[in-house]
Parts: sequence; structure tokens; C-alpha cells
Amino acid sequence: MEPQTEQNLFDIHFNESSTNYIKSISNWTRVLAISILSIAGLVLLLFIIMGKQVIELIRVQTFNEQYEAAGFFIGVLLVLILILGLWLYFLIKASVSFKKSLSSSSNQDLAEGFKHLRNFFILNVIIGALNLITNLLELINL
Amino acid sequence: METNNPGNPNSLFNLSLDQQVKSKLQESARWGGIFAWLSLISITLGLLSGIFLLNKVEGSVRSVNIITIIITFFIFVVLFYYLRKFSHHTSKGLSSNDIDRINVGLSGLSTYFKIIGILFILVLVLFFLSFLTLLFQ
Repeated sequence: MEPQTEQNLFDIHFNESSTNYIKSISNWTRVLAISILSIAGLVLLLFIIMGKQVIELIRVQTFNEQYEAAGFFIGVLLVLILILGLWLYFLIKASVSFKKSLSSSSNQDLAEGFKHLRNFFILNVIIGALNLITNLLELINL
Repeated sequence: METNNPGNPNSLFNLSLDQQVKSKLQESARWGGIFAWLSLISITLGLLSGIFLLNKVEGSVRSVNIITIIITFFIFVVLFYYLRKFSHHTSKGLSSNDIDRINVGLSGLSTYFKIIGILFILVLVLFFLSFLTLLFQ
């Protein structure tokens, strides 16, 4: 935890609009986190109920019955689950910190919220950079 | 209670932009801006490769692909606009201590998460419907 800085005369203060926007950001990051969690839950349920059939369907329809490609697909799926987990963590942390900062008027929690939001964007930059490289390679190969 | 707010005795709001909040908000805005540009470049490249690939398909598949590419590109441009709004106005507002400008930035971030939230709810509904279809097939 970083040390709390003292407020001084020259600090500018948030007004009603600012707090409304922070409240909205907190609510929508929570909605986003819940949606991601629900999608992940449905995927898990799908694999529990009909895992064998789903893998067979993916193998036949997407990879023309190539076992290696289907294995690679499962690997990608696991990486996606990890990314989703990190997304969830940062979103929930940001949402909770913003909400706490509004209810207790705590600058410390507000700073925490923005820190988690920064981490969320850093994660997105890493994913975006990988996506950019993939798109570039695709364009070169065309 | 105004003990936390000596500089502005009329303010009802105790949350202030002290150095710690400023620094974290500035970093969020900077990384948000980087991500906004990165996603715009990435989707533009995706659009270009999509256009090249369109030449290889024909018929109704081609029409569906064109519509999908246009909608995806449009969504990404809108998201870029709001994230860039957050990044640009928040940075400028923080450097000039202008709360109104910071609010413009925060409104951009709020709209950005609203759009993504609605999109994910749509994805969730579609996913749920496909799940039900698969289950009762």
C-alpha cells in the first residue's frame, strides 16, 4: 500500500459531475466483470455437460479432423481463460475501490481504483500489441 | 463536515485530486491513450487483411463478411473515440488543474465502459442462446 499524501490548499476538488462519472465507471466495470464471469461460467458448463462432443465438433468443423490443430486450439483457449481471469481481477478491484472511495470519501481508495484501471489498460496494451503483430504477419502472408 | 476541504469551504465533495490520485489518473490516461491508438492501428490492419481475404470468397458469405467487417470497424472506431477523449482531456485537465476538462475525460471513460458493458451483455445473451440450442439439439 502506498503512503497517503496530505491534502493541501492547492488540491483541486471533484464536483458532483466527477463523482457521478466515477460512480458510472464503477457500475459499468462491475457489469463488464459479471458478464465476463457469466460467459466463462457458461463455457465451463458447456465443457462439463458435453465436453467430448464439443471438442469433436471443433475438431471436425474447424480443423478438418487434424488432432494437432485441435490441441493448439485448446492451448489458445487456456491462455484466453488466463487473460479473462486477469481482466476480471483488475475490473473487480477497480470497481470495488471506486465504490469504496465514493462511500468513504477516501482519496487512497480512489488512487487504488485508478491504479487497477491502469493495470487493466497495460494488460490490454500487451494483448493489443500481440494482435497487431498477428495482423501484420497475416497481411505479409497474403 | 468540511475538515478535509479547507481550500473550498462550499464544496460538498471531499474527494480531491491530491498528488497520489493525480499520478494514478495520469498513468491510467497515458496507458488508455496508448491502448486506444494500438487498437485503432490493429483494427485498420485487420480491415485491410479482411478486404484482401474478401477477394477469395464469393456469394452470400462475402456479403456477411463485409457486414461483419464494417460493424466491427465501426465499433472499434467509436471505442477509440471515447478512450482517446478520456486520455486527451484528462491529461490536459491534470496539467492545467481544470476540473471541467477532467470531467470531460471521465465522461469519455464512463461511456467507453458503458459501450463495452452493453456489447458483453449482448455476447452473453447470444452465447446463452447458442448454449441452449446445443443443449436441446
